[in-house]
Amino acid sequence: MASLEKLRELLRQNMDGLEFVLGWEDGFDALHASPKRITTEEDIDSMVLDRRCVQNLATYLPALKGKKVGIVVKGCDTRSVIQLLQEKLINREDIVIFGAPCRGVISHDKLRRTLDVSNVQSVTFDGDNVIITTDDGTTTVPYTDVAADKCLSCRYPNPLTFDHLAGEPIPPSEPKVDRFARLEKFLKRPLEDRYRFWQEEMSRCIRCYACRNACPLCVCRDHCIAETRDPHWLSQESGVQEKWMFQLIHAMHTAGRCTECGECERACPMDIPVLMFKKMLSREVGDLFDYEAGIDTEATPPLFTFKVEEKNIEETEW
Amino acid sequence: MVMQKRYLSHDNLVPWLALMGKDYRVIAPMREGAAVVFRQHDGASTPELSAKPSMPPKDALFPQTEVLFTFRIKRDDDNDGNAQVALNPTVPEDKVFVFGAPPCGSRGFSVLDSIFIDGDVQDTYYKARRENALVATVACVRPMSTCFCHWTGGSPSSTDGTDILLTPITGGYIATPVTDKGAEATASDLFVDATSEQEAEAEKIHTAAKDKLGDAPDLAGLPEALEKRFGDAAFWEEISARCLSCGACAYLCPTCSCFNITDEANGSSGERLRTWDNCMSPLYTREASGHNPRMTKPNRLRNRIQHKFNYHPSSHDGHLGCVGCGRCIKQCPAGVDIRKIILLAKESADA
Repeated sequence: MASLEKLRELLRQNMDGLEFVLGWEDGFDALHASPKRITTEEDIDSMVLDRRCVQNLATYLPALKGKKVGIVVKGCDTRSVIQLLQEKLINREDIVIFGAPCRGVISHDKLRRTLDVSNVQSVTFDGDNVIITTDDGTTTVPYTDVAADKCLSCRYPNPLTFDHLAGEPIPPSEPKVDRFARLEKFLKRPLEDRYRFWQEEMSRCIRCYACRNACPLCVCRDHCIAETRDPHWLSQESGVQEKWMFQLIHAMHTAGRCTECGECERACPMDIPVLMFKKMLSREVGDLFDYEAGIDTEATPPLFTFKVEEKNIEETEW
Repeated sequence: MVMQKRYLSHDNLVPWLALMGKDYRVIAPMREGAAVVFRQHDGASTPELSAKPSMPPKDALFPQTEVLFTFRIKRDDDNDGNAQVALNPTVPEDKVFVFGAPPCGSRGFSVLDSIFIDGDVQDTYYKARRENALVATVACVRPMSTCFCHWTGGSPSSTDGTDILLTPITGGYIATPVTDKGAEATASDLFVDATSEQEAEAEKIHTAAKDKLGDAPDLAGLPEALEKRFGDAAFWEEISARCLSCGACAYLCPTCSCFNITDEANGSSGERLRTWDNCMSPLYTREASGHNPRMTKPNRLRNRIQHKFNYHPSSHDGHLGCVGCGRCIKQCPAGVDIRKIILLAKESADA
């Protein structure tokens, strides 16, 4: 279990030579934490490390290539780091990884559906419970009711790569929920139903590209296919067609690379479940190539290479 | 026209929207899962009025995409094959009833008015929509912790930019007409004259909501402070560090109005579109030459802050280009807090 004090100690001892360490500080209210570039002693003192630390800080790394920086990462975050290392989008020798074994973060979306969190005064994490005090009083909610989906199906609570570990590794345990559970449930719906669902969901999309920019792997930022005029892949119209097309392109571009960190869906201001597109392709990649992204620094993502004969793809029978 | 306050019972809300639907395209906030979005009202469903809409109603008067004109290019074989371009302007004519936004939404319209129609040059399209629109806002009963309308000259019961202000009270709403159009719309039999007790109840709601917001900091001198801060690279570097350069803040903002114009052609015919642009995007200021004056995050976030709290007030009689709705704070995936930024800018300038 990660310890904030241990993390602070590690930073104090290991910050020399680093421009800053990416970590978290208190956010705009008691329920939120916010990414912070830690440089001073005061910054270290105001660091936080708890279930509010939802942001995947690996998203900031590609733009910082070439700088010597530190980063605080949860288990799932290190998969993004490993994926970026696989693709040589960051240099291992330039980053110092402070790993934090993690027992899960909250989902602000789930919290909003559970109680009115528009005026939160304080939050305490007490083992299996989340105790929230708002203007309406104090409510105790079981953590599992408001856990981020990815945490309920977490298989990697401990950082897979690190220079320093801020606490004892968490013993392995079976996840409560399968990581494709929501997808499987959705796929049981008739095709027309699913089509209508996405027509409606995508109609809320405002093409803000928060999903794209929150993704650690999306590195084309200012050359994005969604915004190029030449070639003219997507028009400027804001119909469902264009918005959906972007999501499909994004899912294809991250297939075999996406570690299902869920930042895309968390970032969406219009509450569209965009992670489902990527989950679909992750499942396909797993079935086709027996491969999982962000685990092995030496691996090559399956769509970056080819084999003359694929183990799971029967092309000819003779 | 007498601005008599009226009372609309809960039961009569949807019938009123259905009635308005005869003359207007009615849009109202509807719940879709965790989101609340403005949709065309179907005449029957109950709007969601107890949660702040995910988006402001900006799109009703300033759509994310709108067609400015269509064009068709004809080659004239009798005239040496010279092309003739036929342009067909598509100025909007429909009347929209924008129902159910909080007051920050209609204050947003006021800011857009100052940009698009109050000056010497008027935007034909925005003007047409604005003149054809009727706006009814709903006063805030319980501001959120991210609300800061009172910092910007607004309040949970502001009537700025709206035709009717509805205040939720026991059993229904007090309707305060603000314009003649608003008074006409509340003249229907679905409303009755409000009693003085009901009016007092509405007043109490207004006061309680205002008190909940607490005191606003003194923002006098903010434009000057930001002007002074312009060249402080370290400051802008620090406050923009966590920004992801997406467009959530700009698109969710009731006052952001930057746009792009592109032609979408299909063979020899097509449309000229105006679409929202956002200054956080890396390509926002890229010029035709390829030069990009705002290539970095600090430059772009600086521009956003300066625009809202310095440039806009400087060219619009001191009115801020922000209405304090707080969506940029609540929805920013990275936790950028515009309140913290302007307070920091002011504090270091005061020092």
